[in-house]
Amino acid sequence: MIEARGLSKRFGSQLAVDDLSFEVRPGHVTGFLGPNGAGKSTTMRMILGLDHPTAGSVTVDGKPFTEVSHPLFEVGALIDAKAVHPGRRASDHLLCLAQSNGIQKSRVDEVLGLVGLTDVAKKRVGKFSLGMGQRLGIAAALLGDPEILMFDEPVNGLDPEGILWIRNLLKWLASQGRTVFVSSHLMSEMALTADRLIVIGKGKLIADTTVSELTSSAKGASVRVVSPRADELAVLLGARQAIVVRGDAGVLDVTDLDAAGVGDLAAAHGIPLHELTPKAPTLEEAFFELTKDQTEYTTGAFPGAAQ
Amino acid sequence: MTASEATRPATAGREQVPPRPTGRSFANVLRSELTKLRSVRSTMWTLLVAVFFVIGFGILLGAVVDSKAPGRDFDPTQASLSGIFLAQLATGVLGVLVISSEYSTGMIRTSLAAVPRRRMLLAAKIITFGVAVFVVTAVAAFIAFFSAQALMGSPAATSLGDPGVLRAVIGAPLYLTGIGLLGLALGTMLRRTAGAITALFGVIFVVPIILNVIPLDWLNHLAKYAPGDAGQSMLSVVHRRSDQLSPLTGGLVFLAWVVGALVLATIPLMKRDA
Repeated sequence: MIEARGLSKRFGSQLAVDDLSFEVRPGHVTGFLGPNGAGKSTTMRMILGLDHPTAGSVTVDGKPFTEVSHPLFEVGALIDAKAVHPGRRASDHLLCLAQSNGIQKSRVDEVLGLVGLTDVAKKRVGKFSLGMGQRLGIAAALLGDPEILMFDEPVNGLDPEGILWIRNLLKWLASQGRTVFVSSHLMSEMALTADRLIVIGKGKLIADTTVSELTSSAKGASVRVVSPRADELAVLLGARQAIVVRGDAGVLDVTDLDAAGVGDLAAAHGIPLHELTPKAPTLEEAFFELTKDQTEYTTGAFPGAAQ
Repeated sequence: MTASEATRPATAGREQVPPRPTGRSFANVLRSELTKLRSVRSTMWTLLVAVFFVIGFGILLGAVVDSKAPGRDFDPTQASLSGIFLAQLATGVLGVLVISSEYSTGMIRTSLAAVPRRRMLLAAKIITFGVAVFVVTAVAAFIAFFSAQALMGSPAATSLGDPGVLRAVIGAPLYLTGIGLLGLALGTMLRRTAGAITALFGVIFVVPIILNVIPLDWLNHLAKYAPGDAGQSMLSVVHRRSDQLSPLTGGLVFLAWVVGALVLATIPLMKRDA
Protein backbone atom coordinates (compact mmCIF):
# COMPACT_ATOMS: atom_id res chain seq x y z
CA MET A 1 0.00 0.00 0.00
CA ILE A 2 1.28 3.41 -1.03
CA GLU A 3 -0.36 6.45 0.57
CA ALA A 4 0.20 10.05 -0.50
CA ARG A 5 -1.22 12.88 1.60
CA GLY A 6 -1.21 16.43 0.29
CA LEU A 7 1.99 15.70 -1.60
CA SER A 8 3.50 18.78 -3.29
CA LYS A 9 6.76 19.54 -5.02
CA ARG A 10 7.95 22.91 -6.23
CA PHE A 11 10.88 23.40 -8.61
CA GLY A 12 11.62 27.11 -8.58
CA SER A 13 8.42 28.82 -9.69
CA GLN A 14 6.94 25.63 -11.15
CA LEU A 15 4.60 23.55 -9.00
CA ALA A 16 5.33 20.09 -10.42
CA VAL A 17 3.11 18.20 -7.96
CA ASP A 18 0.21 20.03 -6.38
CA ASP A 19 -1.49 18.74 -3.23
CA LEU A 20 -1.76 15.15 -4.43
CA SER A 21 -3.53 12.56 -2.26
CA PHE A 22 -4.11 8.97 -3.31
CA GLU A 23 -3.80 5.34 -2.26
CA VAL A 24 -2.40 2.47 -4.27
CA ARG A 25 -3.85 -0.83 -3.03
CA PRO A 26 -2.62 -4.42 -3.22
CA GLY A 27 -3.92 -6.94 -5.73
CA HIS A 28 -4.41 -4.53 -8.62
CA VAL A 29 -2.42 -2.99 -11.38
CA THR A 30 -2.88 0.70 -10.73
CA GLY A 31 -2.13 2.91 -13.70
CA PHE A 32 -0.65 6.33 -13.06
CA LEU A 33 -1.69 8.39 -16.03
CA GLY A 34 -1.01 11.88 -17.20
CA PRO A 35 0.44 13.79 -20.11
CA ASN A 36 4.19 14.29 -20.32
CA GLY A 37 5.29 16.72 -17.63
CA ALA A 38 2.26 16.07 -15.42
CA GLY A 39 4.42 15.16 -12.42
CA LYS A 40 4.30 11.35 -12.56
CA SER A 41 8.04 10.75 -12.32
CA THR A 42 8.46 13.40 -9.64
CA THR A 43 5.74 11.70 -7.59
CA MET A 44 7.43 8.33 -7.97
CA ARG A 45 10.78 9.80 -6.98
CA MET A 46 9.19 11.27 -3.86
CA ILE A 47 7.76 7.84 -2.97
CA LEU A 48 11.33 6.51 -3.04
CA GLY A 49 12.74 9.42 -1.06
CA LEU A 50 14.90 10.56 -3.99
CA ASP A 51 13.17 13.94 -4.13
CA HIS A 52 12.08 15.72 -0.96
CA PRO A 53 8.43 16.91 -0.96
CA THR A 54 7.88 20.64 -0.56
CA ALA A 55 4.77 19.79 1.44
CA GLY A 56 2.80 16.71 2.42
CA SER A 57 4.04 13.17 2.82
CA VAL A 58 4.03 9.77 1.25
CA THR A 59 4.35 6.43 3.02
CA VAL A 60 4.97 2.85 1.99
CA ASP A 61 3.17 0.36 4.24
CA GLY A 62 2.76 3.15 6.78
CA LYS A 63 6.41 4.26 6.88
CA PRO A 64 8.44 6.81 4.94
CA PHE A 65 10.56 4.80 2.49
CA THR A 66 13.83 6.23 3.88
CA GLU A 67 13.10 4.57 7.25
CA VAL A 68 12.76 1.09 5.80
CA SER A 69 15.67 -1.13 6.83
CA HIS A 70 15.71 -3.57 3.89
CA PRO A 71 14.06 -1.47 1.16
CA LEU A 72 14.37 -3.99 -1.69
CA PHE A 73 12.14 -6.40 0.26
CA GLU A 74 9.42 -3.75 0.49
CA VAL A 75 9.51 -1.83 -2.78
CA GLY A 76 10.98 -2.79 -6.14
CA ALA A 77 11.21 0.15 -8.49
CA LEU A 78 12.13 0.77 -12.09
CA ILE A 79 12.50 4.52 -12.31
CA ASP A 80 14.86 4.83 -15.24
CA ALA A 81 16.29 1.92 -17.22
CA LYS A 82 19.38 4.00 -17.96
CA ALA A 83 20.14 4.59 -14.27
CA VAL A 84 23.00 2.08 -14.36
CA HIS A 85 26.77 2.30 -14.71
CA PRO A 86 27.43 1.33 -18.35
CA GLY A 87 30.82 -0.17 -17.49
CA ARG A 88 29.41 -2.78 -15.13
CA ARG A 89 28.39 -6.30 -16.12
CA ALA A 90 24.68 -7.02 -15.74
CA SER A 91 25.32 -9.69 -13.10
CA ASP A 92 27.61 -7.36 -11.10
CA HIS A 93 25.04 -4.59 -11.28
CA LEU A 94 22.43 -6.89 -9.76
CA LEU A 95 24.95 -8.37 -7.32
CA CYS A 96 25.89 -5.03 -5.77
CA LEU A 97 22.19 -4.20 -5.35
CA ALA A 98 21.46 -7.63 -3.87
CA GLN A 99 24.38 -7.39 -1.43
CA SER A 100 23.26 -3.97 -0.20
CA ASN A 101 20.11 -5.59 1.17
CA GLY A 102 21.62 -8.90 2.25
CA ILE A 103 20.10 -10.86 -0.62
CA GLN A 104 21.87 -14.12 -1.57
CA LYS A 105 23.88 -14.28 -4.76
CA SER A 106 21.72 -17.16 -6.06
CA ARG A 107 18.79 -14.77 -6.31
CA VAL A 108 20.70 -12.73 -8.91
CA ASP A 109 20.77 -15.72 -11.27
CA GLU A 110 17.09 -16.36 -10.52
CA VAL A 111 15.93 -12.88 -11.52
CA LEU A 112 18.19 -12.88 -14.57
CA GLY A 113 16.41 -16.06 -15.67
CA LEU A 114 13.01 -14.57 -14.87
CA VAL A 115 13.57 -11.63 -17.24
CA GLY A 116 15.41 -13.68 -19.84
CA LEU A 117 18.85 -12.09 -19.52
CA THR A 118 20.81 -15.18 -18.44
CA ASP A 119 22.74 -15.32 -21.71
CA VAL A 120 23.94 -11.72 -21.44
CA ALA A 121 24.61 -11.72 -17.68
CA LYS A 122 28.34 -11.15 -18.25
CA LYS A 123 27.85 -8.40 -20.80
CA ARG A 124 28.54 -4.81 -19.82
CA VAL A 125 25.32 -2.86 -19.39
CA GLY A 126 26.43 -0.05 -21.72
CA LYS A 127 26.12 -2.49 -24.61
CA PHE A 128 22.48 -3.26 -23.81
CA SER A 129 19.58 -2.24 -26.04
CA LEU A 130 16.76 -0.21 -24.51
CA GLY A 131 14.62 -3.34 -24.15
CA MET A 132 17.40 -5.25 -22.40
CA GLY A 133 17.93 -2.26 -20.13
CA GLN A 134 14.24 -2.30 -19.18
CA ARG A 135 14.46 -6.02 -18.43
CA LEU A 136 17.54 -5.44 -16.26
CA GLY A 137 15.71 -2.69 -14.36
CA ILE A 138 12.80 -5.05 -13.80
CA ALA A 139 15.18 -7.79 -12.63
CA ALA A 140 16.56 -5.33 -10.08
CA ALA A 141 13.05 -4.48 -8.91
CA LEU A 142 12.26 -8.17 -8.40
CA LEU A 143 15.45 -8.96 -6.41
CA GLY A 144 13.85 -8.72 -2.98
CA ASP A 145 10.55 -10.33 -4.06
CA PRO A 146 8.80 -7.17 -2.80
CA GLU A 147 5.12 -6.61 -2.06
CA ILE A 148 5.10 -3.27 -3.85
CA LEU A 149 6.33 -2.77 -7.41
CA MET A 150 6.63 0.56 -9.12
CA PHE A 151 7.46 1.04 -12.79
CA ASP A 152 7.88 4.40 -14.51
CA GLU A 153 6.94 4.18 -18.21
CA PRO A 154 8.07 0.54 -18.51
CA VAL A 155 6.96 0.07 -22.13
CA ASN A 156 8.70 3.16 -23.47
CA GLY A 157 10.85 2.26 -26.42
CA LEU A 158 10.05 -1.44 -26.36
CA ASP A 159 9.24 -3.60 -29.36
CA PRO A 160 5.82 -5.30 -29.54
CA GLU A 161 7.17 -8.51 -28.02
CA GLY A 162 8.67 -6.58 -25.10
CA ILE A 163 5.43 -4.68 -24.55
CA LEU A 164 3.45 -7.90 -24.41
CA TRP A 165 5.95 -9.35 -21.96
CA ILE A 166 5.62 -6.33 -19.63
CA ARG A 167 1.81 -6.46 -19.79
CA ASN A 168 1.76 -10.10 -18.75
CA LEU A 169 4.36 -9.54 -16.06
CA LEU A 170 2.35 -6.72 -14.49
CA LYS A 171 -0.83 -8.81 -14.45
CA TRP A 172 1.04 -11.81 -13.05
CA LEU A 173 2.53 -9.72 -10.24
CA ALA A 174 -0.84 -8.22 -9.31
CA SER A 175 -2.53 -11.65 -9.40
CA GLN A 176 -0.19 -12.69 -6.58
CA GLY A 177 -1.68 -10.00 -4.37
CA ARG A 178 1.07 -7.45 -4.86
CA THR A 179 0.68 -3.71 -5.20
CA VAL A 180 1.63 -2.77 -8.76
CA PHE A 181 1.91 0.92 -9.66
CA VAL A 182 2.71 1.74 -13.28
CA SER A 183 2.99 5.15 -14.86
CA SER A 184 2.30 5.87 -18.49
CA HIS A 185 1.27 8.67 -20.76
CA LEU A 186 -0.42 6.15 -23.06
CA MET A 187 -4.05 5.57 -22.19
CA SER A 188 -4.35 2.75 -24.70
CA GLU A 189 -1.56 0.86 -22.95
CA MET A 190 -3.18 1.30 -19.55
CA ALA A 191 -6.51 0.13 -20.93
CA LEU A 192 -4.89 -3.25 -21.54
CA THR A 193 -3.10 -3.70 -18.23
CA ALA A 194 -4.53 -1.53 -15.46
CA ASP A 195 -7.60 -2.14 -13.29
CA ARG A 196 -7.48 1.09 -11.38
CA LEU A 197 -6.37 4.50 -12.61
CA ILE A 198 -4.95 7.57 -10.96
CA VAL A 199 -5.01 10.38 -13.48
CA ILE A 200 -3.04 13.57 -12.94
CA GLY A 201 -2.47 16.72 -14.97
CA LYS A 202 -0.25 19.68 -14.11
CA GLY A 203 0.53 17.96 -10.82
CA LYS A 204 -3.09 17.84 -9.69
CA LEU A 205 -5.30 14.79 -9.19
CA ILE A 206 -7.91 14.62 -11.98
CA ALA A 207 -9.43 11.20 -11.38
CA ASP A 208 -9.03 8.25 -9.04
CA THR A 209 -11.18 5.63 -10.67
CA THR A 210 -11.39 2.33 -12.54
CA VAL A 211 -10.85 1.90 -16.26
CA SER A 212 -14.49 0.98 -16.93
CA GLU A 213 -15.86 3.90 -14.91
CA LEU A 214 -13.68 6.32 -16.79
CA THR A 215 -14.83 5.28 -20.26
CA SER A 216 -18.54 5.11 -19.38
CA SER A 217 -18.52 8.56 -17.79
CA ALA A 218 -16.71 10.18 -20.67
CA LYS A 219 -18.44 12.55 -23.02
CA GLY A 220 -18.13 12.14 -26.74
CA ALA A 221 -20.55 9.26 -27.44
CA SER A 222 -22.12 9.89 -30.85
CA VAL A 223 -24.13 8.18 -33.58
CA ARG A 224 -23.03 7.90 -37.19
CA VAL A 225 -25.94 8.07 -39.60
CA VAL A 226 -25.89 7.48 -43.36
CA SER A 227 -29.00 8.30 -45.32
CA PRO A 228 -29.83 9.32 -48.94
CA ARG A 229 -32.09 11.98 -47.42
CA ALA A 230 -29.54 13.24 -44.88
CA ASP A 231 -30.35 16.92 -45.36
CA GLU A 232 -33.99 16.37 -44.52
CA LEU A 233 -33.03 14.27 -41.46
CA ALA A 234 -30.57 16.92 -40.25
CA VAL A 235 -33.31 19.52 -40.11
CA LEU A 236 -35.58 17.17 -38.13
CA LEU A 237 -32.72 16.32 -35.72
CA GLY A 238 -31.93 20.01 -35.28
CA ALA A 239 -35.53 20.60 -34.22
CA ARG A 240 -35.00 17.96 -31.48
CA GLN A 241 -32.01 19.92 -30.08
CA ALA A 242 -29.55 17.22 -31.23
CA ILE A 243 -26.14 18.40 -32.38
CA VAL A 244 -25.48 17.40 -35.96
CA VAL A 245 -22.15 17.51 -37.73
CA ARG A 246 -22.25 16.92 -41.48
CA GLY A 247 -19.56 14.71 -42.90
CA ASP A 248 -19.28 13.50 -46.50
CA ALA A 249 -22.40 13.55 -48.64
CA GLY A 250 -25.16 11.69 -46.83
CA VAL A 251 -23.22 11.22 -43.58
CA LEU A 252 -24.21 12.78 -40.25
CA ASP A 253 -22.53 12.65 -36.87
CA VAL A 254 -25.15 13.08 -34.16
CA THR A 255 -24.60 13.79 -30.49
CA ASP A 256 -27.10 14.35 -27.65
CA LEU A 257 -29.50 11.78 -29.15
CA ASP A 258 -28.92 8.02 -29.04
CA ALA A 259 -29.19 5.57 -31.94
CA ALA A 260 -32.74 4.51 -30.99
CA GLY A 261 -33.89 8.12 -30.98
CA VAL A 262 -32.40 8.77 -34.39
CA GLY A 263 -33.86 5.54 -35.84
CA ASP A 264 -37.36 6.24 -34.48
CA LEU A 265 -37.30 9.77 -35.79
CA ALA A 266 -36.26 8.62 -39.26
CA ALA A 267 -38.93 5.87 -39.30
CA ALA A 268 -41.65 8.32 -38.23
CA HIS A 269 -40.85 10.44 -41.29
CA GLY A 270 -40.24 7.54 -43.66
CA ILE A 271 -36.61 8.43 -44.20
CA PRO A 272 -34.49 5.39 -45.19
CA LEU A 273 -31.28 4.79 -43.22
CA HIS A 274 -28.30 2.97 -44.78
CA GLU A 275 -26.23 2.99 -41.61
CA LEU A 276 -26.85 3.70 -37.91
CA THR A 277 -23.78 3.17 -35.73
CA PRO A 278 -23.36 4.20 -32.10
CA LYS A 279 -19.75 5.26 -31.41
CA ALA A 280 -18.45 4.89 -27.82
CA PRO A 281 -15.51 7.10 -26.95
CA THR A 282 -12.21 5.24 -26.80
CA LEU A 283 -10.20 5.38 -23.60
CA GLU A 284 -7.84 7.64 -25.42
CA GLU A 285 -10.62 10.12 -26.14
CA ALA A 286 -11.82 9.87 -22.55
CA PHE A 287 -8.31 10.58 -21.32
CA PHE A 288 -7.89 13.44 -23.76
CA GLU A 289 -11.20 14.92 -22.67
CA LEU A 290 -10.10 14.75 -19.01
CA THR A 291 -6.67 16.23 -19.51
CA LYS A 292 -7.18 18.68 -22.37
CA ASP A 293 -6.89 21.67 -20.05
CA GLN A 294 -4.01 20.11 -18.16
CA THR A 295 -1.37 19.44 -20.75
CA GLU A 296 1.88 21.24 -20.22
CA TYR A 297 2.42 22.17 -23.82
CA THR A 298 -0.68 22.60 -25.99
CA THR A 299 -0.15 22.40 -29.69
CA GLY A 300 -1.97 24.24 -32.42
CA ALA A 301 -4.10 22.21 -34.83
CA PHE A 302 -2.47 21.45 -38.14
CA PRO A 303 -4.03 23.55 -40.88
CA GLY A 304 -6.46 21.51 -42.90
CA ALA A 305 -6.42 18.55 -40.53
CA ALA A 306 -9.78 16.93 -39.88
CA GLN A 307 -10.80 17.07 -36.23
CA MET B 1 5.52 -11.85 12.49
CA THR B 2 6.57 -8.64 10.89
CA ALA B 3 4.31 -6.10 9.26
CA SER B 4 5.41 -7.08 5.79
CA GLU B 5 4.56 -10.72 6.42
CA ALA B 6 1.09 -9.71 7.58
CA THR B 7 0.38 -7.94 4.30
CA ARG B 8 1.47 -10.98 2.33
CA PRO B 9 -1.79 -12.86 1.90
CA ALA B 10 -1.14 -15.05 -1.09
CA THR B 11 2.28 -16.60 -1.25
CA ALA B 12 0.95 -19.45 -3.36
CA GLY B 13 2.09 -19.37 -6.94
CA ARG B 14 5.24 -17.45 -6.12
CA GLU B 15 8.79 -18.52 -6.74
CA GLN B 16 9.42 -21.17 -4.09
CA VAL B 17 11.26 -19.42 -1.27
CA PRO B 18 11.08 -15.65 -1.01
CA PRO B 19 14.56 -14.46 -0.07
CA ARG B 20 14.97 -12.98 3.37
CA PRO B 21 17.59 -10.44 4.38
CA THR B 22 20.72 -11.75 6.04
CA GLY B 23 23.46 -9.93 7.89
CA ARG B 24 23.71 -6.47 9.37
CA SER B 25 22.69 -3.46 7.29
CA PHE B 26 26.01 -1.64 7.28
CA ALA B 27 28.08 -4.76 6.58
CA ASN B 28 25.76 -5.46 3.65
CA VAL B 29 26.23 -1.98 2.22
CA LEU B 30 30.01 -2.29 2.63
CA ARG B 31 29.99 -5.54 0.66
CA SER B 32 27.85 -3.88 -2.01
CA GLU B 33 30.20 -0.91 -2.34
CA LEU B 34 33.20 -3.21 -2.64
CA THR B 35 31.44 -5.00 -5.52
CA LYS B 36 30.76 -1.64 -7.19
CA LEU B 37 34.40 -0.63 -6.81
CA ARG B 38 35.89 -3.80 -8.25
CA SER B 39 33.32 -4.36 -11.01
CA VAL B 40 34.21 -1.26 -13.01
CA ARG B 41 37.34 -1.54 -15.13
CA SER B 42 38.44 2.08 -14.70
CA THR B 43 38.89 1.51 -10.94
CA MET B 44 41.45 -1.19 -11.54
CA TRP B 45 43.25 0.79 -14.21
CA THR B 46 43.42 3.93 -12.08
CA LEU B 47 44.75 2.03 -9.08
CA LEU B 48 47.29 0.34 -11.32
CA VAL B 49 48.45 3.74 -12.58
CA ALA B 50 48.94 4.90 -8.97
CA VAL B 51 50.96 1.77 -8.17
CA PHE B 52 53.02 2.21 -11.33
CA PHE B 53 53.93 5.80 -10.45
CA VAL B 54 54.85 5.03 -6.83
CA ILE B 55 57.05 2.03 -7.66
CA GLY B 56 58.42 3.46 -10.92
CA PHE B 57 59.62 6.68 -9.34
CA GLY B 58 61.10 4.78 -6.39
CA ILE B 59 63.21 2.73 -8.77
CA LEU B 60 64.07 5.75 -10.92
CA LEU B 61 65.18 7.87 -7.96
CA GLY B 62 67.13 4.97 -6.47
CA ALA B 63 68.96 4.51 -9.76
CA VAL B 64 69.91 8.14 -10.40
CA VAL B 65 71.03 9.18 -6.92
CA ASP B 66 74.78 9.58 -6.62
CA SER B 67 75.19 7.52 -3.47
CA LYS B 68 78.84 8.55 -3.04
CA ALA B 69 77.98 12.20 -2.55
CA PRO B 70 74.42 12.71 -1.38
CA GLY B 71 73.63 16.29 -0.45
CA ARG B 72 73.54 17.21 3.23
CA ASP B 73 69.79 17.70 3.07
CA PHE B 74 69.16 14.56 1.03
CA ASP B 75 66.21 12.58 2.43
CA PRO B 76 66.48 9.02 1.06
CA THR B 77 63.03 8.04 2.38
CA GLN B 78 61.20 10.97 0.88
CA ALA B 79 63.12 10.59 -2.39
CA SER B 80 62.10 6.95 -2.69
CA LEU B 81 58.44 7.98 -2.32
CA SER B 82 58.46 10.81 -4.90
CA GLY B 83 55.98 8.89 -7.00
CA ILE B 84 53.17 10.18 -4.79
CA PHE B 85 53.26 13.49 -6.63
CA LEU B 86 51.98 11.77 -9.75
CA ALA B 87 50.07 8.98 -8.02
CA GLN B 88 47.90 11.54 -6.21
CA LEU B 89 46.42 12.48 -9.59
CA ALA B 90 45.20 8.89 -9.94
CA THR B 91 43.82 8.42 -6.41
CA GLY B 92 42.27 11.90 -6.43
CA VAL B 93 40.46 11.26 -9.71
CA LEU B 94 39.37 7.82 -8.52
CA GLY B 95 37.94 9.35 -5.32
CA VAL B 96 35.93 11.84 -7.37
CA LEU B 97 34.68 9.10 -9.72
CA VAL B 98 33.49 6.81 -6.91
CA ILE B 99 30.56 9.18 -6.41
CA SER B 100 30.46 11.45 -9.49
CA SER B 101 30.13 8.47 -11.85
CA GLU B 102 26.97 7.50 -9.96
CA TYR B 103 25.53 10.95 -10.56
CA SER B 104 26.59 11.18 -14.21
CA THR B 105 25.20 7.73 -15.10
CA GLY B 106 22.06 8.00 -12.94
CA MET B 107 23.15 4.94 -10.95
CA ILE B 108 22.76 7.05 -7.79
CA ARG B 109 18.96 6.77 -8.10
CA THR B 110 19.17 3.00 -8.30
CA SER B 111 21.62 2.96 -5.39
CA LEU B 112 19.43 5.16 -3.19
CA ALA B 113 16.33 3.11 -4.00
CA ALA B 114 18.23 0.15 -2.51
CA VAL B 115 19.92 2.09 0.31
CA PRO B 116 17.82 5.18 1.05
CA ARG B 117 19.93 6.12 4.08
CA ARG B 118 22.27 8.48 2.30
CA ARG B 119 24.82 8.97 5.06
CA MET B 120 25.12 5.21 5.39
CA LEU B 121 25.75 4.92 1.66
CA LEU B 122 28.44 7.63 1.79
CA ALA B 123 30.07 6.08 4.88
CA ALA B 124 30.27 2.73 3.09
CA LYS B 125 31.88 4.40 0.08
CA ILE B 126 34.42 6.19 2.31
CA ILE B 127 35.42 2.98 4.09
CA THR B 128 35.61 0.65 1.07
CA PHE B 129 37.41 3.18 -1.11
CA GLY B 130 39.70 4.32 1.72
CA VAL B 131 40.72 0.81 2.74
CA ALA B 132 41.20 -0.36 -0.86
CA VAL B 133 43.39 2.61 -1.81
CA PHE B 134 45.37 2.46 1.44
CA VAL B 135 46.17 -1.26 1.13
CA VAL B 136 47.16 -1.07 -2.53
CA THR B 137 49.29 2.07 -2.23
CA ALA B 138 50.89 0.86 1.04
CA VAL B 139 52.17 -2.24 -0.74
CA ALA B 140 53.45 -0.01 -3.56
CA ALA B 141 55.13 2.38 -1.10
CA PHE B 142 57.05 -0.41 0.63
CA ILE B 143 58.16 -1.88 -2.68
CA ALA B 144 59.28 1.59 -3.80
CA PHE B 145 61.14 2.20 -0.55
CA PHE B 146 63.01 -1.10 -0.50
CA SER B 147 63.93 -1.06 -4.17
CA ALA B 148 65.15 2.54 -3.98
CA GLN B 149 67.27 1.89 -0.91
CA ALA B 150 68.76 -1.25 -2.49
CA LEU B 151 69.62 0.68 -5.66
CA MET B 152 71.14 3.65 -3.79
CA GLY B 153 73.31 1.55 -1.50
CA SER B 154 75.31 3.06 1.36
CA PRO B 155 76.06 5.61 2.46
CA ALA B 156 72.99 7.32 0.98
CA ALA B 157 70.45 4.61 1.77
CA THR B 158 68.47 4.40 4.97
CA SER B 159 66.66 1.52 6.65
CA LEU B 160 63.16 1.03 8.00
CA GLY B 161 64.54 0.87 11.56
CA ASP B 162 65.95 4.41 11.46
CA PRO B 163 63.96 7.05 13.35
CA GLY B 164 60.98 8.39 11.47
CA VAL B 165 61.48 6.20 8.40
CA LEU B 166 58.64 3.70 8.95
CA ARG B 167 56.30 6.60 9.79
CA ALA B 168 57.26 8.35 6.55
CA VAL B 169 56.72 5.24 4.41
CA ILE B 170 53.27 4.74 5.93
CA GLY B 171 52.69 8.46 5.37
CA ALA B 172 52.73 7.87 1.60
CA PRO B 173 49.59 5.65 1.42
CA LEU B 174 47.95 7.83 4.08
CA TYR B 175 48.55 10.87 1.89
CA LEU B 176 47.30 9.17 -1.28
CA THR B 177 44.20 7.86 0.52
CA GLY B 178 43.52 11.30 2.02
CA ILE B 179 43.71 12.99 -1.40
CA GLY B 180 41.30 10.35 -2.74
CA LEU B 181 38.86 11.02 0.11
CA LEU B 182 39.13 14.75 -0.52
CA GLY B 183 38.14 13.97 -4.11
CA LEU B 184 35.24 11.84 -2.85
CA ALA B 185 34.06 14.75 -0.69
CA LEU B 186 34.29 17.23 -3.58
CA GLY B 187 32.56 14.76 -5.93
CA THR B 188 29.70 14.44 -3.42
CA MET B 189 29.37 18.21 -3.14
CA LEU B 190 29.69 19.10 -6.84
CA ARG B 191 28.34 15.85 -8.40
CA ARG B 192 30.16 16.56 -11.66
CA THR B 193 33.39 14.78 -12.50
CA ALA B 194 35.13 17.63 -14.31
CA GLY B 195 34.16 20.26 -11.75
CA ALA B 196 35.22 18.15 -8.79
CA ILE B 197 38.58 17.19 -10.35
CA THR B 198 39.27 20.84 -11.16
CA ALA B 199 38.38 21.89 -7.62
CA LEU B 200 40.51 19.14 -6.08
CA PHE B 201 43.68 19.94 -7.98
CA GLY B 202 43.02 23.65 -7.68
CA VAL B 203 43.11 23.25 -3.91
CA ILE B 204 46.22 21.05 -3.99
CA PHE B 205 48.32 22.81 -6.64
CA VAL B 206 46.99 26.30 -7.28
CA VAL B 207 46.04 27.57 -3.83
CA PRO B 208 49.60 27.21 -2.37
CA ILE B 209 51.04 29.05 -5.39
CA ILE B 210 48.64 31.93 -4.98
CA LEU B 211 49.32 32.12 -1.26
CA ASN B 212 53.06 32.28 -1.93
CA VAL B 213 52.88 34.73 -4.80
CA ILE B 214 51.08 37.51 -2.95
CA PRO B 215 53.76 39.38 -0.99
CA LEU B 216 52.07 39.33 2.39
CA ASP B 217 53.87 37.46 5.18
CA TRP B 218 50.77 36.10 6.86
CA LEU B 219 49.48 34.74 3.55
CA ASN B 220 52.82 33.06 2.74
CA HIS B 221 52.72 31.59 6.21
CA LEU B 222 49.30 30.05 5.50
CA ALA B 223 50.54 28.10 2.48
CA LYS B 224 51.97 25.28 4.60
CA TYR B 225 48.48 24.63 6.02
CA ALA B 226 47.01 23.93 2.57
CA PRO B 227 45.99 20.25 2.29
CA GLY B 228 48.69 19.23 -0.19
CA ASP B 229 51.61 20.78 1.69
CA ALA B 230 50.33 19.71 5.10
CA GLY B 231 49.83 16.13 3.92
CA GLN B 232 53.22 15.89 2.21
CA SER B 233 54.97 16.90 5.44
CA MET B 234 54.10 13.42 6.76
CA LEU B 235 56.70 12.00 4.38
CA SER B 236 59.75 13.96 5.46
CA VAL B 237 62.43 12.38 7.67
CA VAL B 238 65.68 14.34 7.44
CA HIS B 239 65.33 17.89 6.42
CA ARG B 240 62.52 20.08 7.59
CA ARG B 241 62.13 23.30 5.68
CA SER B 242 61.05 26.29 7.74
CA ASP B 243 58.02 26.63 5.50
CA GLN B 244 56.81 23.10 6.28
CA LEU B 245 54.85 21.74 9.24
CA SER B 246 56.23 18.92 11.39
CA PRO B 247 55.04 15.45 10.28
CA LEU B 248 52.63 15.12 13.20
CA THR B 249 51.16 18.64 12.92
CA GLY B 250 50.99 18.32 9.14
CA GLY B 251 49.27 14.95 9.43
CA LEU B 252 46.69 16.33 11.84
CA VAL B 253 46.02 19.39 9.65
CA PHE B 254 45.64 17.09 6.65
CA LEU B 255 43.27 14.82 8.59
CA ALA B 256 41.21 17.88 9.59
CA TRP B 257 40.91 18.89 5.92
CA VAL B 258 39.76 15.41 4.87
CA VAL B 259 37.30 14.90 7.74
CA GLY B 260 36.02 18.47 7.45
CA ALA B 261 35.38 18.11 3.72
CA LEU B 262 33.59 14.78 4.16
CA VAL B 263 31.38 16.12 6.95
CA LEU B 264 30.60 19.21 4.89
CA ALA B 265 29.70 16.99 1.93
CA THR B 266 26.90 15.31 3.90
CA ILE B 267 24.94 18.59 3.97
CA PRO B 268 24.19 18.81 0.21
CA LEU B 269 23.96 15.00 0.12
CA MET B 270 21.06 15.06 2.57
CA LYS B 271 19.39 18.25 1.38
CA ARG B 272 19.41 17.99 -2.38
CA ASP B 273 17.16 15.84 -4.55
CA ALA B 274 18.98 12.89 -6.06
